[in-house]
Amino acid sequence: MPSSFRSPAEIAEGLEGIGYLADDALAMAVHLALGLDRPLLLEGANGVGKTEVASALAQLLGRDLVRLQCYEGLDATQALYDWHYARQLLDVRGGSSSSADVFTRDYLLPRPLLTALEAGDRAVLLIDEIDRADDEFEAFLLELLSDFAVTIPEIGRVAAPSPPLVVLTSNRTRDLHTALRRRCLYHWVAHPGAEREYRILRARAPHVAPELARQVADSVARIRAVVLGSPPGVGETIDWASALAMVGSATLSPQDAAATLSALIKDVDDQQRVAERMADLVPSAP
Amino acid sequence: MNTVEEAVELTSRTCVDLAAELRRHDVPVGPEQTTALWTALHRLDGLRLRDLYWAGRVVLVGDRRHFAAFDAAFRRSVLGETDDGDTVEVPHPVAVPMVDREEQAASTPGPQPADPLEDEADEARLTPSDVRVLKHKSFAAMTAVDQRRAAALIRRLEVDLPRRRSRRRVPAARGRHLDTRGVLRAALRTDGEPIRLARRRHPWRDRPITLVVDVSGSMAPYALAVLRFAHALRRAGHDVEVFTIGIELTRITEELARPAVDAALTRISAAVHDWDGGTRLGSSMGTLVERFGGHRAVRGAVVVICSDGLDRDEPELLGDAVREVHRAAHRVLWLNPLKGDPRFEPIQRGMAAALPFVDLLLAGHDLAALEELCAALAVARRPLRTTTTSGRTA
Repeated sequence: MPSSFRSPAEIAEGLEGIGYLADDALAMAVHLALGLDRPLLLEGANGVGKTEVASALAQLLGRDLVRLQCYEGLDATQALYDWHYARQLLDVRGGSSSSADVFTRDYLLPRPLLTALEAGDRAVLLIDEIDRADDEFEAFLLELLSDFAVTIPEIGRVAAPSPPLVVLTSNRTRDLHTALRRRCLYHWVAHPGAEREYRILRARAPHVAPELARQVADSVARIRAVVLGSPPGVGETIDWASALAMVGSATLSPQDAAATLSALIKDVDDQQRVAERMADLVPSAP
Repeated sequence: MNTVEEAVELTSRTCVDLAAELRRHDVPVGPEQTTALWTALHRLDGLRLRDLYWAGRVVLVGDRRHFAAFDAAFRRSVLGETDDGDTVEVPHPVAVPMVDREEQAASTPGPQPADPLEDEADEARLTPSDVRVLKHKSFAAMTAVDQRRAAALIRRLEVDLPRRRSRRRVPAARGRHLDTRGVLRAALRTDGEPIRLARRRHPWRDRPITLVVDVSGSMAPYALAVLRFAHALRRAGHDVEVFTIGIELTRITEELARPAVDAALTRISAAVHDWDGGTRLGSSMGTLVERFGGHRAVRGAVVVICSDGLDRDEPELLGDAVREVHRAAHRVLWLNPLKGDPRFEPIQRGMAAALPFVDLLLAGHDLAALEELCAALAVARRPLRTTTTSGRTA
């Protein structure tokens, strides 16, 4: 199914329609991923909305989101397929099947990767936090990502009828292999600037007054410029704005900011660092 | 002057030239990526300059570290800016961040590969008494000949790194988990009767080891020995990351990946710009925390810091950074050559600030001290660690 979007601008517009604000680079990356049938590798700090990209795309394209959360020790039986051993064993013992018939599609349990392959272009496959999986798993993904096919020894090669849209995300806790990078389109997701964050706030937290949202976005941009252990993500900005709206702030004051800081900064050292500079980061209302 | 909205006329040369320019900037670009860009650009109606920029970056560049190089290549190849242009400098147009400099150095060939047999010849000439003398000779007092001989001995050091259980489950003769796949396979041979229960277990994995080597002036002879040690670890198949600190942090893991230690050291000296320079340990370590705090080079790794703790930064900086490293890492060991002197007290301000967050302080000033380090690591390998919590020997 060729994408119904003819230009990056249309994609950006479509994503905005469902509440995800994409910048030029991301819109282009998505446009190319769809056009070239290439996986899209997104890297960036925690909380910049990498995972959100995939779910927004699934919604935009009207496809199912198939998500594979990577973790250490993830292997093919959890990611690709497994056999229904209990049923196989029972059927062999019951004498209804011989050992050859229990390795058929009926006894196969599809895991996310196989599900996405079989769905083809009706799916968006999100391989989340690939850096958490180990090198072996990364190597295992190579065939899948370049050919959109896998080989199951007992059955044969399973190829996608048409390539699904694949989105990989990484937090850079490990260096990904160049072989994987080469197969993908690459986009670095940065923290949004104050203007874009303001628009995100307006879209995602409409109950927050525009003036407050503007001040929150500006302050968060300043807070991110301070060296913190973990700079706040977009989700935390939204939480913070909602928290401020909930305690009834019409405008952002240093007092309210300090009182609700725990919604934005989730580390005690960072909180201290921000609290010390509060007067510069959150200017008091004139 | 071009603007980003300007229409671009596309020819296949555009893509090929851009790719070629990128390779000149040491960005790895494969032919299939060039073809992909060519195909991609044909899908865009009314191609504008900014489309070409974003599409080029998305398709041809696979790592954020290369963004600056891409900008330079784009300016040169697409916008046609030359070396004479006022926006471009000669010969490398952008101020490339540190990591890119590493890449450039990586492609610089070393002078001549050292003869790998040379070391062995030296080693063969060592008598046991030579070894005994050499073992307790400080690296700083060694002559060039001593250093070569010591290098051979360093290569023979055996290291057992601390281990942890992998989260994977692999088939094993015995183990806590049932191997359902193995049970079924075995049962099929006995008409579906599961007679032998196959097992799986979590295998052991060595933890990665990260060496952070101070290359400031006072540390030079020791740093060289530790780098040789790092090379030996890598040759032995361990998972090693190496950083140098001094004025700034430099990651030299790639440079170390040479079969011959001398070739590796040549590449390292080309990559490290603050060799024999000043000491800003606190801020260099701070950079390590900032950039690699969540990376496996620090998180869950054995971190060995090799420095005399003489720091020109405020001691709090170093203390804070080492505390952060200690939080994320499995163990933090510190090699301080000054400790080789029996009168040593950890009173250098940086050292004193970092000490509470160091699991073990060792000397590392001679071969015997490196052996001590290996022994300390081997002790930590045992799953039941009873000695490590109180193991700081100051």
